[in-house]
Amino acid sequence: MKHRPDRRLVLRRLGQAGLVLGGSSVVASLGLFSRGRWAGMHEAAVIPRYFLPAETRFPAAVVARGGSPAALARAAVERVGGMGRFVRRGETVLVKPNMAWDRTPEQGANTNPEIVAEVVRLCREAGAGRVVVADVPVHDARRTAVRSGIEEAARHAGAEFFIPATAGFTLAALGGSILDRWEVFDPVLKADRLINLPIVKDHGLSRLTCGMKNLYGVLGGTRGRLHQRIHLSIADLAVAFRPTLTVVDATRVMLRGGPQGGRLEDLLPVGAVAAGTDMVALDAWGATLLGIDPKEIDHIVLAQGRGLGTFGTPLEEIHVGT
Amino acid sequence: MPQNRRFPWLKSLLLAAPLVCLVVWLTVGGVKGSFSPDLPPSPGPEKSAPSRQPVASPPSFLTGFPAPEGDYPADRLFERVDGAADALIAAGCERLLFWRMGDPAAEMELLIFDRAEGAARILAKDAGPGRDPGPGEEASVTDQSVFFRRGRFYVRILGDPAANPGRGRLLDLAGRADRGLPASEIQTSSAIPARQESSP
Repeated sequence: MKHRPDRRLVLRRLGQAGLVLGGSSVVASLGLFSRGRWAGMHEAAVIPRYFLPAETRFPAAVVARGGSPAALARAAVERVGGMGRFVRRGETVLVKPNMAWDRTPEQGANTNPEIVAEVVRLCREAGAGRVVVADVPVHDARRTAVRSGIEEAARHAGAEFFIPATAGFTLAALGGSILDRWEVFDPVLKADRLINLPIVKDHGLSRLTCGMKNLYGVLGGTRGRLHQRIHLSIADLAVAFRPTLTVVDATRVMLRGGPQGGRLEDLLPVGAVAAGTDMVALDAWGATLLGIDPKEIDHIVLAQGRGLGTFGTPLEEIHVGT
Repeated sequence: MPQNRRFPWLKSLLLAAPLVCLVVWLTVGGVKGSFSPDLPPSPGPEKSAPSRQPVASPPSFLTGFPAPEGDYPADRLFERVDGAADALIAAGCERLLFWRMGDPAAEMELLIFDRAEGAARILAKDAGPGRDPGPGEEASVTDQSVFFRRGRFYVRILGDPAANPGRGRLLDLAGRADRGLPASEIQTSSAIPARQESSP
């Protein structure tokens, strides 16, 4: 018996096939584009340009010694042009300390809270609209914020304060050689200016953590995976998040056991704060405090090659009366 | 035509099956991030504590101590000791247990290595060459810390500087931890040379 096509059946089958195809497209889109290399092919946030053009009338980096941590920070920033050079009225400024560890200030694993507070005050004096202190700790974020003394110091000085419990992450295009796209802490993406506040420490893998390595703290996700090619990823970060200003805490320098440390005996009381726009020179200076030749630190050499600064010339030193 | 109309949905289902399989394959691949061999995708952080929650712990590991607050296998060491994890893994660290003590105010980490040599290497890296009288087979003791090793177990105790518990109480804690180590799992090595004591 010859089969005769049924128009109703054909239409029903076409409808079913359409539903399957449509559903498949939706599911495939969700699966492909929400994660993985293709994530953010249609939308990845753009990182603001924080860095300002260089001004040759000011030194690119200086070191201040001989005062309280706050006085040193203020003097060093003043010498490189004052906060008014870096922050304009009404701007949102992101202050990024190293606040990764559940440690007290005496243990020298996080940026000295007195320096954080003083930089916040300088930003406010310069007319910043909002000053935000934020970081993504390794240890428990809430506990780290309290024990480091940074949350209290920041809020008391007039800053807003964010940890991952209070802000989210957005996939951003970093455009690096190995760091192409990554989750970035939202407060960082919403800032007009970025002031980097690292502390100088030994680091078990990169040997040194100072300004460039501190930028790991703007990232979410499984950052430990970046350690597979740590120097390249640090250099990528330095390019992507080139800060407006870097203020380096070297009041206490962790010589061993870094980055988490914890033993007071591993600290060297250097009593210095450096500031400037040349993050390569500042990291190189930090390396010398650990007794390391900067040429041995790959990310310093890579960053110099990428035009982020230069090392080799001693930093100008200023002395602050106590 | 009754035989053709008995299961009108069956042919559609069969036709759609390969497409569904393809979709599942692509979705699973996307979720697992297998499209990015160089840099695995970064999962979105948890709002409360991003990617930092330790795995479930056994009820107790050290006799006389409560269950650890954190228990990190080798592949998650970076969640506790980011930056030092690679050196630990290279030395054969298999697991890290973490306690936060109230009395005395201190934190304690127990690092378990596959061999005693690895534990000894990390103690030497942390504390330098000098050794002090203390628990275990070798120890480094300060007013604020006690690091000691017994076999393939390496214990780090850090007193809270704000509470300043003092050397004596930290040594008491370290002694309790030393006695609480599972004796059956302590593996010593004769290859480790005797240490010279640096201070009384």
